[in-house]
Amino acid sequence: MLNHFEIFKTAGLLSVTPGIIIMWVIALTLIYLAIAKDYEPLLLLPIGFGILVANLPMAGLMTPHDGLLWRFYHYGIQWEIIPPLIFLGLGALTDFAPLLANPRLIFLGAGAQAGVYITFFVAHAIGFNLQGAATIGIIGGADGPTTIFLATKLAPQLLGTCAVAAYSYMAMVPIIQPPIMRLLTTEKERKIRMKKARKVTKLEKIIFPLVTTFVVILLVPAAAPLISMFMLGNLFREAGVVDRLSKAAQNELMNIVTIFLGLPVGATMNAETFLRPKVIYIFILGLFAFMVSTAAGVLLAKLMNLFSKRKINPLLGAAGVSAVPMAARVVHKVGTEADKKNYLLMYAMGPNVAGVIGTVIAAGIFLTLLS
Amino acid sequence: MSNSIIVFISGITGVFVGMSLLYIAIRITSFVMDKIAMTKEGKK
Repeated sequence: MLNHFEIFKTAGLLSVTPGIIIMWVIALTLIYLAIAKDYEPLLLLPIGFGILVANLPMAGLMTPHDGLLWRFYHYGIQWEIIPPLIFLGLGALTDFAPLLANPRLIFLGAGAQAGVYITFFVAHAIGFNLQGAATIGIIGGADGPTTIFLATKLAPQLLGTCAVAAYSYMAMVPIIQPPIMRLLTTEKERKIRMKKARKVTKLEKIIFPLVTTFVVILLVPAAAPLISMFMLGNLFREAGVVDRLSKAAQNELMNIVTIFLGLPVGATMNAETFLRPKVIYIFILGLFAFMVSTAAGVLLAKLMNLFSKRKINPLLGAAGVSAVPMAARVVHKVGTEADKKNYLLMYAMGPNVAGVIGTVIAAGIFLTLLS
Repeated sequence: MSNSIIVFISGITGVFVGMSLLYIAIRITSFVMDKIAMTKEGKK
């Protein structure tokens, strides 16, 4: 005969632990930040909800082979499907004209990757293994999908933590970057006006994704899944003959894969794997990576000015961290504080989009050497 | 030399080599495009 109290044995209520309650608080905090403070809501909202439901005892949403979110995670992320699809959408949304009009700004996107490698070195020095250190370092690239892609391959146990750190700091770019930019530049440097860039033809915009695909994949084959989708999306955009595909990649596809990216990433964060002292180090190192990337970009711009007649406003170097277009907006804002008529936004988009390519190359190199 | 130093040096070098190649490719493309544009204007 069925016992009336049998239901309580299968209810999750009796399995709640202090660790689980802490995870609920973290989940609700992320949901709050996404809704009330508009902190990267497209990702932090599903990530927060994923953490919440994955930490409801007995629900089994992350049970291997059986749980709903485990299936999203396995077939979407472990099978490397969702991050490249996000890149397809990003490519369709990206205009490379500011970079093509001012090609030397591409080096600022490379310079900002110094933060990735310096953080990798520091993380390894304080005890993380090479794979974990690489995953933490890539947070400095300020590129969520690349962080997720690399973490899945090198350090799946750090996936949730690194993704949350990356997206949290991306939302905090307007707070993190300006003090570093002001510290490393003089008022005079911040007032430097960029010379008017050349006009970019449609053919150049079409050739660029093709050339980039060749160059990057021939140099770093491990970066192929991300860079090929990124450039295909951009080709859709620039070709002008597949507007339907371009719009689908930018809107419907991007929105759908964003949902299936955030939920399972959040669901990988459970009390056993997340509530460890090392997580605090990851967040500190992630912040360090962002700061070093910003500083490296600014300093590289200043270095380039030593050898160039056409001066670059060194603030543009800070846009070398990906965080598109937030970092470019921050550059423009700090620039206008020094000179109200100095319009830097379009110039900053150059290193900004170059930073995305730089981060993908950096991730490809990590994969080549460490996987 | 420890593995982390090898990854560090290879990584930074690799990123700059990759971006330099892209820079050269963009410069070649823009040079050719500008020449084509000048030729077309000359014909007009």
